[in-house]
Parts: sequence; C-alpha cells; structure tokens
Amino acid sequence: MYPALIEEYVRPQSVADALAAIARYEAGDAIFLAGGQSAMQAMKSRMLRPQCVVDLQAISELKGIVSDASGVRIGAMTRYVEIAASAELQGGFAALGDAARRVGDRQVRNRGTIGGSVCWNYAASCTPAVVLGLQGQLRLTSGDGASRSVAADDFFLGPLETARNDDEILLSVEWPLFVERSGSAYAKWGLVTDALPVIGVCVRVSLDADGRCESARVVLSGLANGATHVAAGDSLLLGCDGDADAIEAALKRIAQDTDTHSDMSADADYRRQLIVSIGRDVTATAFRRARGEA
Amino acid sequence: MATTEVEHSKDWLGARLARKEDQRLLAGDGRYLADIVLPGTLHAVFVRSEYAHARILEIDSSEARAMTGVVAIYTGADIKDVIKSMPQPVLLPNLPARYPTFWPLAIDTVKFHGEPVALVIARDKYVAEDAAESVFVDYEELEPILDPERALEADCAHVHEGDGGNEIFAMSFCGGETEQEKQANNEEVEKIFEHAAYTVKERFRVQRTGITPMEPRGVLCEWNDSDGLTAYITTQRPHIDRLALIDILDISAEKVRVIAPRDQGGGFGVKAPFYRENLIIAHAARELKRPVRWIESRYESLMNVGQERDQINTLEIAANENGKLLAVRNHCITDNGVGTTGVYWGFVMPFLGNVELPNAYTWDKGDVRLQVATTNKACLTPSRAFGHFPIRFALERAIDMIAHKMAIEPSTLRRQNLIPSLPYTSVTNEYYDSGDFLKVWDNLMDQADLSSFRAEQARAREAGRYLGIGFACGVELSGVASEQLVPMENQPGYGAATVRLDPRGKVLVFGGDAPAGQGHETTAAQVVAAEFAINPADVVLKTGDTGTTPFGAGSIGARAGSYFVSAVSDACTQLKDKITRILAHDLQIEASLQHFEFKNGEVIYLGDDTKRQSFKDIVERIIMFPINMPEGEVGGLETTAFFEAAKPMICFNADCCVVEVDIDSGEFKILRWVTSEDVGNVINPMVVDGQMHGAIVQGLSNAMFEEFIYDDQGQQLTADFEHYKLATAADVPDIEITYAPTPCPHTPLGTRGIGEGRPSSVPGALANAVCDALTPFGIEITQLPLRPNLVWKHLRDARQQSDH
Repeated sequence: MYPALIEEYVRPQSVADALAAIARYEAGDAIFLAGGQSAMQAMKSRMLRPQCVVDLQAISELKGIVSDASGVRIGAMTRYVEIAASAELQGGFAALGDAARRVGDRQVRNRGTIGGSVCWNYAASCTPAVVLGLQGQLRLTSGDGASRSVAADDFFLGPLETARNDDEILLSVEWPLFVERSGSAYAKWGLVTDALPVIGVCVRVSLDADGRCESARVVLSGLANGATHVAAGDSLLLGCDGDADAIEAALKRIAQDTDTHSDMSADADYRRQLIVSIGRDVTATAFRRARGEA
Repeated sequence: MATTEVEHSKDWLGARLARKEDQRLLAGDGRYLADIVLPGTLHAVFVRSEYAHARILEIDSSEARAMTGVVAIYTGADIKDVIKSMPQPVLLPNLPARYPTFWPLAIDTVKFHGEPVALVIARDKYVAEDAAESVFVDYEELEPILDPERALEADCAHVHEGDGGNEIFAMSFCGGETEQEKQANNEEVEKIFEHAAYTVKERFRVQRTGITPMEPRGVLCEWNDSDGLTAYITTQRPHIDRLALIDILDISAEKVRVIAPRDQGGGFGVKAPFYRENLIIAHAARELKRPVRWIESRYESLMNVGQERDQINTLEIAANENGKLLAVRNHCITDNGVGTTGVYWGFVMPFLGNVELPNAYTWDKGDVRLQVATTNKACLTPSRAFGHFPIRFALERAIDMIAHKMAIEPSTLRRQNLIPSLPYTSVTNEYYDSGDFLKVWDNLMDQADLSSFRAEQARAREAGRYLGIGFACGVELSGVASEQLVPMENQPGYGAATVRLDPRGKVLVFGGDAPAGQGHETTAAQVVAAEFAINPADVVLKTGDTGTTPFGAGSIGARAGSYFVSAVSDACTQLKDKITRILAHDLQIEASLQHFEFKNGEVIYLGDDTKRQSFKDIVERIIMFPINMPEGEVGGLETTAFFEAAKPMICFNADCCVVEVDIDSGEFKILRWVTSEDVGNVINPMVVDGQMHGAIVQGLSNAMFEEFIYDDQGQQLTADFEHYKLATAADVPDIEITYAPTPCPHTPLGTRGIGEGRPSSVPGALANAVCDALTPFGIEITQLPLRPNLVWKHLRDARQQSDH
C-alpha cells in the first residue's frame, strides 16, 4: 500500500494560493486534500495517482461554522468533531450533528471534514445524505475568482461523482435560515458501532402552527447509488402531526417503494426493514425538534 | 503491590503486577519487525494472482527489470530448479494426507486469489511497488472450485492436478483402529439413535473467519558467507522456522539463526505456520548477499492469512428420557482452501477440532467423521480456538436444542452430563488430566442467578421485551504435550527455559518461544522473583532468538502458563539447590535446599536464622569467587530446564450471556457476560483477565461480525477493514471474569496454560441466549455469523408460519 509517485506537495495558506497551485497542472493531475480520511487510502491503493497534492488544511478561511441572521455557513474544511460539538446546529440543522457524531471513529472525526466528505461522495457515507436532506447550497470557486453556488440536488451526481470541477475548491456548505418550527435528524445502522451506513435515514420537517407537517424531506444513505432523495417520502409525511402510527405507515410505504440492494452487509429485504426501524425514530426526533422539544 | 516491596516475596505468585512490557508498548517504544534496520536493506513486494484459478501463459517483467532501483525479480521458473519443493519432512505432520506439491512462487497455475506469482526486489518499497505493478502476467482463466461439498464429489475437477482428488484429509474417530471395530462402533451408535427418547440432528454452518493480528507478517533476512543466514521473522515458532529454512534451502544448520522480534503485534496462531514468503525472501538474501525485507500489507494479510473455521458440521446427539446424553455423531466437512501452508496444511485444525468435539460431557458412544476439501481459496491458517470454534458452536447449540425438546433448562442438562471427576478419557480419546468441572459450573450458576433471571424475563416479556440467557462451556488444552504434538505436527511439546544468574544478583531468563503480547516477561519475572525472593524488576526475559535460547516448540496452544513457566520454575529450583549446597559449605553446616528459606533477598538457614547471606552476595561468590568450593563443585550459576508433563493437561471455562433482542429489527444487545474459569493457580490475575477479555472479544467478533467472502469467481471481497468487520470496544459488553480454580497437580506451580482455546465457547453462549430470548417463536440458530439480518429473517419466517 504505497502510493504511486507524487511529484509535488503544497500546503497553501489561502484559497487563492490553492487555486494557483492546482492551475499549474492539467485537470485531474493535482488533487485537493481535505482531512485525508478517504483520499489518503485511495492514493495508497493507487486508485488515485495525483502528480500533485494540494493540502487545504492550513487555509483558515475554509474553517468554521457561522450562524447569523442570513443563515448558516459551514466552511468546507470544518472537521466532524467541530460539527458534532456545535451549539449552533439545532432544530432544522440538528441532523448535521447526528451524522458527524457517528462518523468513523474518534480519529476520523478529528481529521475528516464536511467538504472532503461531500466532494468525495462515497456511496456508503453519511454527510452527503444529510447535506442533501437539508438542501444545502455548495459554494465553489475556481481560478478566475468567481464563485458559484450549486444546490445539493444538483451537486451529488452518483457515487464518487459530483458537480465540482477538478479545478474548483468547495468553499462552504450554506443554508438560509430555516423557517421556524423546523427539525431534522439522521441515524444509520452498520454492522459495528459507527460503521459506514448499511442504511441511513435523514428526515427534515417543517410544521405549521398546529404542529402539522407542511414540508418534509426524506433522504436515504446506504443505497447502491449513494445518497438518495425519496421525493415520494416527502409527500407521505405532509399533514402528519408526528403520530407514531402515521409515521410508521409512511416509512413502510417508503421502504416498499425503495429499490434496495443485497450485498455482504445486508440483504435487500433487511435494508427495507432498516428503513422502517431507523426511519421511525429519526422522523419522530425530527418532529420533536421542530416542536422545540429536546 | 509496590514494585520496591520484597516482603512476603512468595506473594509475587498471584500478584496483580503491572505488565513490564506495557510501558514501552504504550509509549510507542516497542521494537517490532519493521523497526529493525540493517544497512543496505532491499525491499520486496510480491506480485499476487488476480484470479482464483488460472493458467499462467506468460510473465513479462522486462519493463520492471529496466526500472531504476530494481535489483531482482523472481518468478516460479527462476526458483523451480533451485529451491526444493514443499512439502518437506520438516513441515509434515504425522498424519496421512494428500499433501500438495508447491514452491514459494506459483508454477504454471495459480490456485487462489492472492497467490504469490513473482517477487520484486528493489532499493526501496516505492520502487518495488512501482515495478511490481508493471510486471505483466497473462492468465488463462480456469473454473474455480469453491464449494467444499462439490469439491468432494467424484466428478469434480481437482485443485491440484495429479493429486487424485480434492480430499486432502479424512479421518474417523471413536471407532477403534480396524475397519471391523469402526463398523461395530458405528452400528452401536446407530442403534442408540434409533432407540433414544430424544435426538437432535442439524447442519451447522460456520463461516470463514479467524484472527487478524494488529501487526501483519514480515521477514528480514541477512546473509554473509561466514555467518550464514540471519532471519528476523514475525513468528510464534522461531526454532521450527529455523529447521524449515535449513532443510528446504539446504543450508548447514550452524549457519542459520532465526530471531523473532522481542515485540510482536499479536500472533493468535496466524504466525505459527511456516510460510512460503519466508523461504523466498531468505533465498533472495542469500543470492543477492544483501539484506532483504518484506513487510506484509493489511490487504495482503487479509487475502492470505487469518482465515479459519469454515466448517459444515452435520451433528447429531441423542439422550434418554432422563436427560442422560448417550451418543454424539458428527460429519464435519471443512473448506480447507488450497492447502499450501507448511506445518498445518489447513486440515490440522479441523483434525484437532474434531478430537475436541465431546467437550466436558460424558458420552457413551461417538461416531465422528471428518472430510477436508481442497478449494481455490487461501489456505486455512491456525487461529485461536484452533479448529474447534465451529464444532463447539454446533455442540453447544445442539445441547440447548435437545433441552428444548425435553422442556428442561439447558443449564440443568449441562450440569447433569458434565464429567463428574477427572482424569477422564473422552470418546475421541482425548485425555483430560485434572480439574473440577462441577465446581466451575456451580460457580457460574451462582453468578448467573437463573431463577431471578427467569422472573425478570417473564416480566419483560409481558412488557414486550425479549430477554434471553445462554450458557456454554469449553475444555481447552493447557499446553500441548509431546504425546499430542509429535503425532499431530512431528514436533516436541516440552517447555524449556535457561535461567542465568548475574554476579550483581540479577536474573536473565531465556525462552525459545516467541510471545506476541501475552505478558511472558511479567509472568516469568514473577515466577523467578517468587523462587529467589527477589524483585520482578530484577528479572529480564529474552525470547525468540534461536542463537541464544533453548529449543522451544513455540508460543502456541497455551504453552506459557503450563510448560514454559514450569521450566522456569524447575530451572530456579536447580539453581537454588546449588546455591544452598555451597552456602551450607561456607556456613560449615550440614544442610541442603530444604533447610533454607529464600526470603526478602536473603538465603536463611532455618535451623539458625543468624546463619544467612544475601542472595546477591552468595550469587556473586559462586560466579566470581569459585575458590574454597565444596568437593566436586564448580562455579557459575546458569542452567536450562526442560519440562514435560507425563500426560496432556487441560483448563476449563464456562460462559453465561444475557441478551435483549429487538424482535422488530432483529438487533440484539449483550446485557451481561459472566464467566467461570479454572485456570489453576494464577501467577498474575491481570494477565489472565486480559487473556480472557481478549479471547471473548475475538469470539464475539467472529460470531457476530467477521466473515471472509469469496464471490462466485473466487475473488476475495473482504481484504480491507471496511468489508472485514472487526468488533470495536463499543461493540462488546463489560466482561465479568470469575474463578473457580483447581491447582494443576502436574505442574510445579499448580498453574494451567490458558487463553488459546478460550473463544470457542463464546458463539454457543451467545446464540443460545438469542434463541432463549426468542423461545416464543421457536427459533433455533444454526449458522454464523449471527447478525441482526439473520435473526430478523428467522423472525419473519416464524411469523409467516404462524400466519398460515
């Protein structure tokens, strides 16, 4: 497990310097390194063979969580451990903390970043599902200094595929402030504690003044195609007041209509069962959070 | 106990002394194989087969050879006429089998995914990896043979052409020596089954799984013409490896030295075989006259080693109307893989596993048949609970299943059928030397408090919660006597230790085994400290170097607490005898060892305690000032003792597990794990607790998570830790270890060897608990791994049954 020859390693202090470094190489010959929890493995197994590694870890402008009147912005180089511990990410944003607290192990959470995870977009991963579930906006910038914002629905194109160009840096994942009475939650099941998701469920709901769901979003992780928005699930939860039977019925429908797969971790039928058994707790939690309960 | 304290020095036996090894290991100061640096070392990388079964049409290494920094490339063709093929007698057990012929690198055909095809040696690991990648191998794919039952059919193609079949080994047990005796026995067994009040027959399937040491394999070989070969190998058996290198590479014996590094990151059986990689690296070092190093990657490790279990046991047991177990019948089919691993060949494990089938129960009769099939997979390698992990799972499940039929408590049935007194010889002719199974069992039941649990279980069920309790037990080897090891592996079992006293009163101990984290340094030091009444800090253990240590069969089969420490104790006794002979002479008294006490760093004459000398002074006097000696005595204080038990020895353990099952998702949580152990006298309870914790965790991880998976083309899909799932600390319960010891009468300190077989009772206890929780659904688990998916499927099937 030794990487192919890497000719250059740079550790820029700014986004501008990082873009300048990547511009010296043909597209794809230089890669950005975020927390290194996936890319390092891919280089050691020679699945990735970059000529140059541009390490983003020293760029402070890419780090941190900002929450203000305009919304929430999480810098791409913000580590899981910071997201897990953040007091800002409540209510509609709480699913981010749910996911970050259970990624990998302590060492992974201390190094891995939200930006690294969404740009890698591994099929069995949690962060893309939550960013998709919460409809984040992904702000990207490239050599000319211009930036663009891509909606999560358009960003995740399939396992290991995103709308990011090779010469673009992800700056942040952003949200406008959610409407009041919003709640979200995420949970997953893997064979061992904090393993990659065999199935994960992210649910976000917004409630009307009577506590009924007026908008919802259901996203699954652990499917063959990676993070998947289940649009039918959104409408199944509309009008629901958080009643356990109604949630259960909605999740059974979602599970029934989802194209699950069998692999060495679980068979397709069991994945459907997991959607129900994980999803009902996740959904109930999202409702509780939307109501402002603990 | 403070390490400076020497009062009550006998108390070092049984003291919870912090391990001497741990300071350096935890501080990152361990010295593992990869930490050993020799000037001018070359680095080796294997090109391994991408196919399970294929003919090699061409190997083109011209591009690799031309790369700067590449020193040598070997293929099968380069070594076929230079290195002897295996098997060679040094690596053969005393068991008749269809031993495959092979070389370290594949010749003509590759027979499993991951088989070494070529070896690239270069100035550094990066160049070697680059070059290995550019070696082009053209294969013609062949149909892989992957199903062990299919492999045994007469019309199946053969993994090893010319071997005449895929049955590498077969044996029947219990029936005597001759065909007539066997037939008569088997007819009697059949009669018991025909007339028994209760019988159970099930097919139990346990997956391919085993142990993955934290440090993978590695070897560093150095050659020069005057000293010959020095081979640093991650190994549990340096003395055995040395003999293999001598014989196969035709090197004169005085010119081969094997050194197992002082620190090794776990062995667990995986480092017990003699591997083909060691052979070719040593050969290359000799040819190139440069040090050559190979460090196995995790990927290679998971591809090649640590794969065990993989058995189908069709097991039957019979009992009479009073719950007396009458007969056991088993047909074991083991998927051996390719069978090209020296010493064990894959099948030695299921062989011993079937010997251990009867466990702690009295059976009137048995009929046990084993068939081991060669397939296009990696060869099975020994893994802790050597060969009997699947068999014990099957038996302990079958006991619960027959108890369910009788509608009695499985724990009651177990106790009723435990061997009531020892020694005892089992129906498979295994000798159990000593111990008290009932005492161990009763202690476990005291811990378990079954009646309270049953009340709690009933209350929980009313509330819709499903709790279950499960039991299992295990008779395990305490070391391996020559009586067992010679027939099994053609190797001796005795323990050996050299004890050398230092003129300054310190002690050096040399052992020929090669520990890998078990705590030998601490345990040996406590034994020596207790014998001489000195401090364990003044004792140092050196292991693993064939150039300095007495012959040892290796760190296998729980040999430390049984054979090794017994040899240490015997060597100390011999030296104490000499010390007291000379001290008596100096004190001008007629006395011998029995008239002296070693206490608080002094040697004291019991008849007059003013007659005494410090241990340090008398040791220095004998080593440095050997004048005015008693007639016939010479100076010096060093001796080697060999310890052999007259008969094989055992230890015994029992497990109780409590679980809660979520009948919706099939998930289950272990609420409690409590054990009862007979480990004989304990030298260091912390070391013993650690062995038990580790073994139980490995047993649980095997039972619930781990599985090596080959697809239908024989591609190994689980060569990384994303796919080969190991338990984490968060996945295992707190483990309560309790003791109900009987000192072993056959060792000088009353100790037993422990730890090797310990995982074997774990899957039975766990599965029995899950089935107990699901009694309302009548679910009987017969396969591993036991995962929520499987439990859920059983629940779904049970519900569908009750719907119809």
